[in-house]
Amino acid sequence: MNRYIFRRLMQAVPTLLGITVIAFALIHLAPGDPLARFEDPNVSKATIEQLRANLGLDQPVPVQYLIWLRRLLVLDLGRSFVTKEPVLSMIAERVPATLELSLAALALGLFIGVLAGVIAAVRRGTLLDAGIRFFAVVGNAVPHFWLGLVCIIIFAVNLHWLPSGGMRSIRAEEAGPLDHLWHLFLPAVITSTSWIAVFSRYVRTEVLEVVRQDYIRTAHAKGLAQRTVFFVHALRNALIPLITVLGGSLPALLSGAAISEYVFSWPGMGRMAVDAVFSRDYPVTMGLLLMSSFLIVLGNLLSDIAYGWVDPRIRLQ
Amino acid sequence: MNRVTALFVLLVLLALVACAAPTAAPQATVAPQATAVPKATTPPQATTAPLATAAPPTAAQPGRGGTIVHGTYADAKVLNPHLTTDVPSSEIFTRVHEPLLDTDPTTGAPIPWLADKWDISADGLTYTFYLHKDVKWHDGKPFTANDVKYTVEAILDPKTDSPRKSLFDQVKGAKDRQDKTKNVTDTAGVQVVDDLTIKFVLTEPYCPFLVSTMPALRVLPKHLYDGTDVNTNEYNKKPIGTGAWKFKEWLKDDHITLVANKDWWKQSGGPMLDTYIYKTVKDATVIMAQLKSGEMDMGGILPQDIPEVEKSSSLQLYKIPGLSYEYMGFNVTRVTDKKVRQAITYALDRAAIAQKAMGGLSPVRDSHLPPTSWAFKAGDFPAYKFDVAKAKSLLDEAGWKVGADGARADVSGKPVTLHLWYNSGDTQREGTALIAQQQLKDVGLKVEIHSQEWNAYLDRLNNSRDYDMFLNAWILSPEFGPHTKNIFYTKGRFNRWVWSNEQVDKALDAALIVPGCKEADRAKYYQEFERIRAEELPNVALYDVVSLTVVNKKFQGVDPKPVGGLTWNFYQWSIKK
Repeated sequence: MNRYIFRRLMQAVPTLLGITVIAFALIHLAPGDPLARFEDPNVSKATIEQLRANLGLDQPVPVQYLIWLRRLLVLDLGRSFVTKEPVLSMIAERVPATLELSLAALALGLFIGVLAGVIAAVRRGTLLDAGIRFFAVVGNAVPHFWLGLVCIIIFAVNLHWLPSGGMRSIRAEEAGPLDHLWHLFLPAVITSTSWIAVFSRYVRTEVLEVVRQDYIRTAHAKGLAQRTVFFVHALRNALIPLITVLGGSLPALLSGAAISEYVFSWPGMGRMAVDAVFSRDYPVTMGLLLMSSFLIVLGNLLSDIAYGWVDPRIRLQ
Repeated sequence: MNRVTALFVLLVLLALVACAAPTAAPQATVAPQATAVPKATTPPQATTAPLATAAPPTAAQPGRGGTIVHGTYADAKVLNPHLTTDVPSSEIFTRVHEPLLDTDPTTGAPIPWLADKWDISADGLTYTFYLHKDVKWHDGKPFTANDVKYTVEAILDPKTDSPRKSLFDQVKGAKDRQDKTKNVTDTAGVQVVDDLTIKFVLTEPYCPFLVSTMPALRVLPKHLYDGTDVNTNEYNKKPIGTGAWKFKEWLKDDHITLVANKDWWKQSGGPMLDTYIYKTVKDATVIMAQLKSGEMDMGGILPQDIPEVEKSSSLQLYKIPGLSYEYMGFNVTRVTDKKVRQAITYALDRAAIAQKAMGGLSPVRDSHLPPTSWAFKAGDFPAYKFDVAKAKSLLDEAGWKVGADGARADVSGKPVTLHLWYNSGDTQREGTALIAQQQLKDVGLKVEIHSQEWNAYLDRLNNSRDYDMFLNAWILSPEFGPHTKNIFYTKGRFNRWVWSNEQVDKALDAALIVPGCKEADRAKYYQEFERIRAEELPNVALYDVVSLTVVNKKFQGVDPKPVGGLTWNFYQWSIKK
C-alpha cells in the first residue's frame, strides 16, 4: 500500500510540472500588465521600468519560469506583486475561511442531498420524486451569483433576518460565535445547492441500482424488515460511489465557494483568486493554481485508496 | 460495510464540526499597543474636488465618540503610502500617515501640516521646511526631520518597489540615488538641518513641488523601517503614523478598523469620532442595502440608486464634481486627419451622452484643464457644440465622401470602419459607446464597438495602442501640471493618442519651471496647450466625473469643498446628539 501511494505521488510530479509550465505560459500570454494598476498619471515611464526590473518582469518568460521553479524547490511561492506579502502566507491566511464555508456547505449538501436522493428513490415515480429531480437540475443550473443576490435582497434587505455579507459583525460588541454562524448561514446554503443537486442525483440512481441486486432479494426472502433491508443492506452499498465524488471534490472545497465568497464578501481564497487574476498578480495566481492542481491529484489518490478500504474486492497494485 | 458507514459518518461529522466551530476565521492583523502618547495630525485630504450640492446638515451640539462604517468595493492592498496608488489603500494611509504640507480644500494652494512654515530661496531651488514641535508617532516616539529624510531615501532606494520615485526627479541627487549601478545611498538634495528643519535642494525650479510633491510625501517612521526591506516591512500591514487615526485591525477582504488618536497634535482630544471602520463589500446592491439598513454609514453609489437615496429620511447624498473627466481618445496615427477628428466631435451629442451616463448630474466638458482651475480661460478654444451639418461638411472637406450605401469611404476610397474600445463591465462607457456609434452613423461613419477586461484593456491603451478610438477617464489633481505632461507630452507614459506636437511639449515643459511659479505666468502656457489640444483633438472631453457618496444624516460637520472633497475635515465629523 505504501509503495502504491509513493508511486502515485511520484507520478504526480511530472503532471504537476507540466501544469505549471502550461499555466505559466498562459498567464504570460494573456494580455495585461501587472504594472497597469499604476494608472496614476504621476507615475513616470522610468519608474515603471524600474519596477518591472525589480519584479523580474524584464526577463524572458522562460527565465522567469525557471526562477519561479527554483524558488518552488524550497517551498517559496514568491511574493505578491500587489501586497508584497509571501504568497504562501496569503493563502494560509485565507484557507480557514474558505474551508469553513466549503465544509459547512458540503455538510449541508451531504445531509440534504443523501436524504433527498433516498426519498426520491423510495418514492420513485411520485410527485415528490419529480420535485426532487427538478430541484437537482435547477440547483445545478442556477448561478450562485444570481441566487445569492436574490437571497440577499429577500432575507437581508427586505426581511432583515440575515446579514447581507461579511464574516462577522464589525462592531465588536455584536461579534461572537452565534453572530458568526448567523453570517455563515446564507453563503453556506447557497453554496450547498449544487452539492445537494449532485448528491441527490447520485444517491437516487445508486439506490435504485442496488435494490435490484440479488442480495437485496435474498434479504427480503430472509424475511428481514423493509427498513433493515434498506438501511443495512441497500444504502451502505449505494453510498460507495459517493466516495469518488467526495474525493474528486477536494479541490472544490477550496475553490467551489468562490462565487459565494464574492457575493457575500466572505474573506476567503476565492476572492483572492479573482483579485489576483484581475490584477495580473502572477505569483499569487501561480500559487493558487499549483495548490488546486495538487489537490486534484491528491483527491484522486485519496478516493482510490478509500475505495480499496471500503470495498475489499478492490485491490490496489 | 461497517467501514462505509464509519467513513460516511466521519465525513458528515467533520463537516458539521467545521461549521459549528467558526473560530477558524482568518487572522486579523492587530496593531501593537502604542507604548506611549502620540500627538496628532489630521487625516489626509482627498485630492479630488467636490462641490456639494447637498445642503450641509444643520449644526447640532457636537459630541465626541461614535463609530463610522465606510463601505468600499475593494480592500486596501498595502498600508504603506509609497508602495501603491490604489484608492482603498489611500483611504487608510491618508488617515494614518501625514505629509509636511497639504492643499487648501478650497483653493488647492499649499497649507502647513507637519511643517508649520517654509522658505524658498531667491533662485527657487532651495526649500526649507520648519517642522511642528512635539509631534509624536503613534508608538510615542518623537517625529523629526530624520523621518522625512529617511522616507525620501526609502522611496528612492532602487530596491523599493515604489511608484512614487518620479515625484523627486527634480531633487538634486535623486536620479543617482535611484540608479542601481551607481550605488549611491544618500540623496544630496535632501538635507537635515536639525531635528525640526529639513532642506530640499532642486536641480531646476519646479513649480509643482509644494502642491504635488510635498502633499504626496507622507512620512514613514524611520525607527520602524530603517535597516529593513521597505517592501516587506511588517508595518506595511499595521501602520504607525502621526495622523488623527491609529491603526487597530485588518481582517483581509473584510474590514480595517482605525481608532481615534486622542493625542493628536492638530486637534486636542483627536478626531471627534472614536472609530472608523472601512468595510469591503463587493457589490453595489449590497452597499446600497447596508446604507439603507444603517449597517453602513458612508459609501459610494451608482446613479441609478439616486431616487432611492432621495426617498430615504436617513441618508444624505453628496454629488461631488471632481477635476476629472471622461473622454474619447483617438489614435492619431490611425485617424490622422484633424478635420475628421473635429467632425467626429461635432457629430457627438455630448449632452445626450452625459445624460445617459450620469443621469444629468454631469456637465459636458470641453477642455482637459478643469474649468475651475486658475489656468482655465473660457472661450479661448473651440468648444464643438453638437452640429451634424458641420460634421458632415468637415468630413466632405477631408475627402471622406459618402458612398452609394450611405457610408463614407476615406480619401483612398476604402470604406471606413472605426474601431471604438472600452472596458467591459463599465455600463456607463457601454452606453456612451452605443450612443456614439449611432450618432456617428448619422454622419455616415461606421463604428464597431469592442470591449475588453480592464487590465487587458489598459495593456492595449498603454502598450499595443491598437484602436482607432477608445473611452476612458483622467483623474486629475489640483496641480495638474505633471499629469498633463505625462498625458500629452510626446514621450509621456500616457500618450495614448500617439500624438506629438513640439509646441505642446515646449509649453508643458515651460509651465513647470516658470521663474517665481506665479499662476498667471504658468496659465498662459497651459492656455496655449489647451488651444492646440482643442484644435488638434487627440482626445474629446465628454463630461465631468461626479462622484456620488451617501452619508448617514446622523453625522454632522460634513462640509465638502471643491479641492478637499467630502472628507477633508473628517476629523471634525461627529454624531448629532
